[in-house]
Amino acid sequence: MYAVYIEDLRKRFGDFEALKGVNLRVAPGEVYGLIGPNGAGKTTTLRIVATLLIPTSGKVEVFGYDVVSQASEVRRIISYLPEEAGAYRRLTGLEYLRFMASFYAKDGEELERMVEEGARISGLGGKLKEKISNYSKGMKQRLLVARALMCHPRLAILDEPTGGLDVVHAHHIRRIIKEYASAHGTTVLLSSHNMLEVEYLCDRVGIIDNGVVLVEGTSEELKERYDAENLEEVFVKVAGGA
Amino acid sequence: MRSPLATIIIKELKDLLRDPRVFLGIVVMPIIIFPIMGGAVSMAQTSTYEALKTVKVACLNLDHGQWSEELISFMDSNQQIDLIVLDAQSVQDAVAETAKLGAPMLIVIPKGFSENLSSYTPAVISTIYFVKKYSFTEPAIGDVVNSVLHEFSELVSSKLVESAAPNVNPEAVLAPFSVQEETWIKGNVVRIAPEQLIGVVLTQSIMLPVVIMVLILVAAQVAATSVAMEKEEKTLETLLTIPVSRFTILAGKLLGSVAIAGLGAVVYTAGFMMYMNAIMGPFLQALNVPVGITPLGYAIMGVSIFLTLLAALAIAITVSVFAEDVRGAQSLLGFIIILVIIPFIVLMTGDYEYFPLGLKIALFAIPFSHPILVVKALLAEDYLFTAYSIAYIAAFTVVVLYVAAKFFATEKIVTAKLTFKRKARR
Ligand SMILES: Nc1ncnc2c1ncn2[C@@H]1O[C@H](COP(=O)(O)OP(=O)(O)OP(=O)(O)O)[C@@H](O)[C@H]1O
Ligand SMILES: [Mg+2]
Repeated sequence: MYAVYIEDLRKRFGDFEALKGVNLRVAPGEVYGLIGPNGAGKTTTLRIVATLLIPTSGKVEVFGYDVVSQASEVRRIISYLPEEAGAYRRLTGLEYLRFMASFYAKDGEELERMVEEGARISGLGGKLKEKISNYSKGMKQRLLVARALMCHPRLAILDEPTGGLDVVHAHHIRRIIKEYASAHGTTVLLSSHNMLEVEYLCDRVGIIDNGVVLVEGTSEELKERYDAENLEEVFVKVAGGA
Repeated sequence: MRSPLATIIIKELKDLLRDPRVFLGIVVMPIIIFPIMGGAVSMAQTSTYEALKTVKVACLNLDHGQWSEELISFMDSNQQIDLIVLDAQSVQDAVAETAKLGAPMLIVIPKGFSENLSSYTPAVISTIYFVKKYSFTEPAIGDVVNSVLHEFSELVSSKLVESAAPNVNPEAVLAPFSVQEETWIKGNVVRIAPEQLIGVVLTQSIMLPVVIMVLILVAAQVAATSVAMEKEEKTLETLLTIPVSRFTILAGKLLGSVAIAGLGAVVYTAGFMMYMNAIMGPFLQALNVPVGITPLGYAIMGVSIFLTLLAALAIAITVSVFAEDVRGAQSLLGFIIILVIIPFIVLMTGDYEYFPLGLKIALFAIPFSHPILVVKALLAEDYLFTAYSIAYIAAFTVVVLYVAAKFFATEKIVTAKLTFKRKARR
């Protein structure tokens, strides 16, 4: 069984077809990176996997559950970080973690454990007692990634988890994703514009453009196949043709 | 463990009550508004009273006869009037002099005044107002002078009757009978003119809709902003992927806003009652008749207001899901605000029973008319109408909630956006 199984996925918005037959498989425990130019369809794909959007046609399953007919089962085992997400500004970081954890924890003890883990992953320390409106963008994103991971999802869907962050914050977030995924065997499906990040984090990479996945493989495989020094070169060769 | 619904409601309350705008609108506003309103009314009353304590009046006597001298000493002896008798020889000069003195009024006693009165020929005294400030006290000064002149005219009448017919009671000639005004209300006949009574009840039924309207607007604003904020910050998107039913999420947001609105309702009602008591209390007590809304009436009104609020909040939440951000939600909310204000203004200014049928139907269809209609019906003790009205708002609210719930279950909640910009990208 695949963690994520996408077959011939199409999505139309009115008369515009954003996804034109996406095929993609992610194995359990794998960290999978989706890269592609702006408007390629990354967010749309991730939103469909996260049960937010309904496919126009095609099949999408998460650990064997269909994202349309078994959406509530899927929601129990995923966590989703939207692109450019924020948090409730007037809550403190800790209050936010507790709020989100209470939807996943079965009892008070588990709740405390989750909040504690979230606090630890975020690395925000005493800042967690402050209102989120005081946080910098980087701090907020660390909180949100910690929130997505603390509830022990089987699949974490992270849309540009380091988008728009400075080097230090981005580095912290990459490190916690990598550590957490390998420690818990969590499957991660993420999107990114940063090739270094994808090479560092992802077991496998898919390049998507214009609503189709053009190539897939480990970054080693892709570099070899396209005779490239790094992933950036591969990306330009595959998607930069226009 | 708390239920997800309770968790969402509690978060909502925390988030909203920490919003300074909510705090201002729900708690601070009524605490400030009602005392200010009460203060303004009583201040206006005191200032008029102060202005009328002593009224400066100029007088030009062109007669110099027996009656004019008597009139001048009559006015002089009046505490309220500070009389200045001018030396001028013509009305023109007198006007100039009065203006210089800053007196608000000039009384001109014409030549031949005494002669006319003594020979039973009606005479004319002219009074000239100096309007400067266009305030309510200016005509009130006229009233003071007029009533003094009227008193004097009665005095003259009775003296004339006395000299013409010495053995007749002047009272009986001047006012052969008088009118005692009484009003029937709720089975009681009270000694009070109807204008006064209706004045009291109208204040009640005008002020109440104002309070209801403000409350609905504040609550809708709060709910819309909270949803739009969730959209802007993408927290709504996150909520929609957690293992909680969409209906629970909708209900949580709605009930959170309802709780805030309920708090507002309590504060506003308390403020309103305090205000009414301060202004009307003594009068109503002296009247000793149950005027206005009964306790049962207040309960019915409460239900009506609550249901209307629920409908308003459900609409506000659904509408603001279409908006991309807080500003978009505010402009969409503008349409709701119009729907709240129009019936308010129409019902304030007119008696809806005499409206054309089309306007009546439109008014009855807008749910926001109903709290006001219910208040009117309660004053008229038309309980059947209030029952129909509550059934209608309840049905309306159920429909809106059903639509909102259906809408929350689709992907439109993520993709819907009403922007007035052109489509983005590609
Ligand atoms: N709700 C929507 N309605 C209409 N068109 C949409 C909608 N959402 C996305 N699109 C279109 O679908 C296409 C794919 O968008 P998507 O957000 O998936 O791209 P992306 O790969 O995430 O881009 P980026 O790197 O900029 O985040 C774009 O052309 C976008 O304009
Ligand atoms: Mg995107």
